[in-house]
Amino acid sequence: MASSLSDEELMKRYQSGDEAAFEEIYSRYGKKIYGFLMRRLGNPDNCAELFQETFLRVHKARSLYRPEMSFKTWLYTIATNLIRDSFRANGRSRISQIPEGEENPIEGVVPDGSHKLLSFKEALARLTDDQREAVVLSRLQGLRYEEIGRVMGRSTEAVNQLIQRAMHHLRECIDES
Amino acid sequence: MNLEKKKTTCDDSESLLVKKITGELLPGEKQSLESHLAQCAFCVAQEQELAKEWQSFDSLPAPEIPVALYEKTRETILGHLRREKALFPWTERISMKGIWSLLIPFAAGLAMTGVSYALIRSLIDLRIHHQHILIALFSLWGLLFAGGFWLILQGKRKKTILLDVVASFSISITFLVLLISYLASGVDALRWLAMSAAYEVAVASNYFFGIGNTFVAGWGIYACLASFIGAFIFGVRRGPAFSQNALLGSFLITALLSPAIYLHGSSHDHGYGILAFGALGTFVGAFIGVGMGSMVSFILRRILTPAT
Repeated sequence: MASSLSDEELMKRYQSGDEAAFEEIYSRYGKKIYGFLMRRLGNPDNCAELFQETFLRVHKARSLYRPEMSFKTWLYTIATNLIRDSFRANGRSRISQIPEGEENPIEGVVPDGSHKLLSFKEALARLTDDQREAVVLSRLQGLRYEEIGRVMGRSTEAVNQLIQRAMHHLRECIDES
Repeated sequence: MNLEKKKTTCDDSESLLVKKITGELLPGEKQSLESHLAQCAFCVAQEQELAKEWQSFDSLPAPEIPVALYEKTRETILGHLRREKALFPWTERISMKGIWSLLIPFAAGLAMTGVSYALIRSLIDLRIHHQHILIALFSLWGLLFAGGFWLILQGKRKKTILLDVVASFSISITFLVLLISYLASGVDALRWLAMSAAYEVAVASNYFFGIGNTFVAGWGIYACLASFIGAFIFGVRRGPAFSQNALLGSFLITALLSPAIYLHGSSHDHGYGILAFGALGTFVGAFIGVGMGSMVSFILRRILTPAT
């Protein structure tokens, strides 16, 4: 029954202490958030810490959530803020890591079939932090531009430009190789 | 591929192509892009490249969350949820919409005032007591309880410390007044016991602080009892979080007022000394209340919450 409800309806139930509603939300977003954190942080230890912290913050702040707001946007905003805090604490403004095990050369994927030395991983790592965040949220997490804008505190047009530049740089990196 | 040839004219469509593959293209933009693509082989090739580039994200393996981490986080949140669950779920079902949000606390306050009156009516002598003072006193009791009840129901899903503090204070004072009324209304053994306790405290406070009489001791005991009741009620109801706040609050008040104990120690002027003594009583009461409330809360939760 819970699975047929929207995220916002589930949150209303979760706010009143419904365990099943929490379980459903967690099953919908637990793995996605972990994937997002791993792609942004790269380090499994940091990622585990922030993963737990994200859901703890959701739990603690759930009474502040208003259904007029998209739950997905709210959740990714929390995760993104934690990532930024983590970067700040570690004195890093830019992360250029992609998780271990994602050695995934793009060869064979490009249209002309030529062998590309530069892996897709490296091409992604060359993007600016904002570009990578926007492109990961759009492509891998399935957020709309408007939602990404809210998460990142940018306008929809700014998100459009970030993704456009990201795609442009990805192509350039791949072409360079 | 000659990228320079149509760069200027195709710049606009590059933005639209990205929007197309991300599914963000607006109807008007779609039409404009399609008409451009119909006459531009370069941009058609660009579109194919972009689409393949976009697809290449699929080739990235999705990071797998460790099962232990997934389960641990899930259990942690569920543990929090179970601890926060009301011990008395009927309070969560009380309708607080519309007029009921005012009527329920008002009715509770009225009922409690009625009980108070029933307890002390035999003590009232209109030849001695001023009627307007009695009316004011009963109104105060009614307001305190109604206000406390309303705050609890309003704040039941909010973590507002202020609500907790005010509600616990008003409810504990109300219970305290009832208790005093009960003690003073003819149960001699309990009344003498209370007076005896006040006397013992007065002697002790004279010995340690140089101040104290049964009046001061009475204040201390009442404050102690009130804060105990408050901390106990909320310790049981919400677990240790509130009790810790109550304890911290009373500790700060005690710390702020404690110099008054020494400043007025040798004086007969009660002034701040009484307040300080009351604050000390509050701290002691809250301290004991925290322990008792948390312990009862823990035991009740173990009994009432089914193991999973």
